[in-house]
Amino acid sequence: MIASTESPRTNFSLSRGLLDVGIAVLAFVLVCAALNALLPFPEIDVVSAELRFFKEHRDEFDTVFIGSSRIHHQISPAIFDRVMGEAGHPTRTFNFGINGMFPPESGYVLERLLSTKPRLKWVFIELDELETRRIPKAEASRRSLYWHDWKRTSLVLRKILDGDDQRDARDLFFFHTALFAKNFANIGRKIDLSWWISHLGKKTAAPKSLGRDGDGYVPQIKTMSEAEAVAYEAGLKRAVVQAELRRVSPSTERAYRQWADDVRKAGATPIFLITPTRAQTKFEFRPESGVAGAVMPFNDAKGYPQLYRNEIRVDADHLNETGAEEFTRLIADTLSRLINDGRIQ
Amino acid sequence: MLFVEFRFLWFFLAVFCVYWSLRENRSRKIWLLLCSYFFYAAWDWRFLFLLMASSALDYFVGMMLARTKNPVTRRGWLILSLCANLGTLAFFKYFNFFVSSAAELLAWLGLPASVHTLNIILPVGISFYTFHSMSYTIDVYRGKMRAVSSLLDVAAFIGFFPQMVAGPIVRASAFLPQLQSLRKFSVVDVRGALVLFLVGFVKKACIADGVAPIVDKYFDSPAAYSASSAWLGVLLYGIQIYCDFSGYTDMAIASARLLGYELPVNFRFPYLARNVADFWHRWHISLSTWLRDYLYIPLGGNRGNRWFVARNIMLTMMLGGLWHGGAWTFVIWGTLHGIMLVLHRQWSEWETRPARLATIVDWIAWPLTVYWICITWIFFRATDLNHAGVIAKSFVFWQSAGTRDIGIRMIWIVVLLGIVHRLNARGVFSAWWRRGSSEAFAAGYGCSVALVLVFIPAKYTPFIYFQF
Repeated sequence: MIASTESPRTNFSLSRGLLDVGIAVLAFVLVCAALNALLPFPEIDVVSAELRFFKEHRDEFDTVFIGSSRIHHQISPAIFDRVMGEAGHPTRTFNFGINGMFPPESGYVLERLLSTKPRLKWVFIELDELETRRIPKAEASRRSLYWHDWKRTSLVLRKILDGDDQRDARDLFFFHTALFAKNFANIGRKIDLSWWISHLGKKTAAPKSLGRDGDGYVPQIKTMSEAEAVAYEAGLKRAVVQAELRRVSPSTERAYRQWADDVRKAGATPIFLITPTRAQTKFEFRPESGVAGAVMPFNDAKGYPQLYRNEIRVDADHLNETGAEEFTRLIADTLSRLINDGRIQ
Repeated sequence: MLFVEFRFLWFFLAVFCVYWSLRENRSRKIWLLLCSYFFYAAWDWRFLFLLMASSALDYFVGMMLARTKNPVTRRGWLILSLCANLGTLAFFKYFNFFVSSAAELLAWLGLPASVHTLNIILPVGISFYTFHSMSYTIDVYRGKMRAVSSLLDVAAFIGFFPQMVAGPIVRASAFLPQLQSLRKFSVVDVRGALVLFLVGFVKKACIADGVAPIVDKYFDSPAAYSASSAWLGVLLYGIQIYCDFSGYTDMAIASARLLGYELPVNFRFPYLARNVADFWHRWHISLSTWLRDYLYIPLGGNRGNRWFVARNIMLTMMLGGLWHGGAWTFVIWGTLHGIMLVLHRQWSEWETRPARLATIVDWIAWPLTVYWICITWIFFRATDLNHAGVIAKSFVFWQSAGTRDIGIRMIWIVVLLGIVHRLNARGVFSAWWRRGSSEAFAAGYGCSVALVLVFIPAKYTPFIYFQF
């Protein structure tokens, strides 16, 4: 019981009060930062397990694909390695695609992945605009929280402030700022602490998301129904008509520059990959942006019609197993051609 | 808006800074009232009008009571206030309960009736602010206090945001005089209030919300759990409800104290009670004293023969149970407490124990009291009587076919919290933080908050008493 027993403070002054508040805030910030550095990496569904797996097997791979489900379900490391081997450029590939992982989350995961000090030659990064939207089903999840460090949040905030659409800007600005604050203040991180303690010294099983070959690739077997195919084709026709070459936003450019630099510092070559989605917008970096890295844009229905056939697609954004194999071969062929031409080293 | 949410921090910071920067008491009260209404509207602005109407009516009745000395007229005004307040409460809280109970009774008598219940939203805190409001008119009627001539004062008292939605239930006679005098920041116990707020936050966010998922799992399917898990589940619920409610109260008292107002104490280590009467001197004190002063004593209180007193106790406790919500489980909860209060009263009259046995009896009385309180919590938490029956069978008779277990490590958490409760009651934690310079306190406070946040769940559970 805490009763009000304090005798009156006769020497109260505003400046002293403010000083105390400042000290409390400073102490709070310092302890939060210290805890942030000391607490174990958050246990995030799929992400943490795959990072752990990669850390344990980092010496077994020299090529990594990182991105969303469009990587996870569409890049077969086995096929990639076979084609590259046949072309005289042997590789050992790992697919680090995770459903719903868009930039800047993918950049955060890339940074964690590189911190394991792997010996990589090639790092394929899925190229897309920075994701700033709120995803209602996931916005309260830990998955949307853990990557909100200052580096990532500042990129997102800058993109929101630079955006043309100011209608949602304020809401999004507060949303991401709140997530940053929560993440910085380590809210609810006891769960990671107890997970870490309960798994101390125990070997965890490889996650199912690694697929049957344990290389991170999980193909999709489904094909489109007739109605879906009709809708897909109509949408694709419209998208081809509206196809455009668009420069990525300055914040996205800044983000990719950081990641490309990180990859290069790790001794690898970054390659930016645009998967064959229905959207026909081809992103490019400004020449003065300083983002050095080849861009492989496969979202070109005219250039790669073989990737846009109904029978090899699951939906407008994803290929099925047959399509994924074809797409993987195409990437490997393109890469070996670029290497042979000396346009990439 | 919950006390444990970030947005409350910003809200309170704005209230605090503007409040203390205003020089005049009237301006401060206007500011407080606006902030209180904003706080309430953040939940549902439509019910703000109900709160305003309740304040206006009781202000008006107070004025009318002050104008007349005719007992019949005065009684008429009081009845108007009681009918309006209790009528509103009855409609929002008990309409569906009374209608469905009447239908069940008719069906039992062989007269099936087709009834329609309404989809009524319960205005948050209605039970609390109705009691605040009623205490004003009743005290004015009884002549315990003079009617207040300022509507602003009455509205600010009833709507005062720290205590509006879940108490403590504040008497007009205790709070209105505080509102009428200019509060001085120099006498505010800032350090005590900040520590109390943090303690309340830990109780609610770390402990109550921490055990809530385990308790919810158990109470969702009690038949699937073993009898030992029934014990743990019910004990954990006892911890959850205490930490949830007393945590809220601590934060309410601390918030009010930072604005220069004192709210009444609501809890005094209830789980250290050695009998049920003692428990009610420690648990939700503002409600138990309200019921005592405005219900039990008017019913006759301790006057009259033992049966008459027993009737008064039973009526008070049953209505006290019903106050928590329109369900038979709450009525039974109140009835169980009433029965034990009557039995304890008889026991106290008969008991002539030798002094040396007193300590031993006390030590036996304590676990028995906790056991009984836990049994009553089953009815408090259960969704219906069948549900309560399943849990009570497992808890009291150790009969359960379930095989699921809550987990042995939870016992250690219960034991640890019990030790902390005991040490806290002995004042072990009560004063050391008062020592040291203000800079050291500020640094320690900042560090403590940062550490506490690690242990809160990512998602808050609403305060249990908000539903009442």
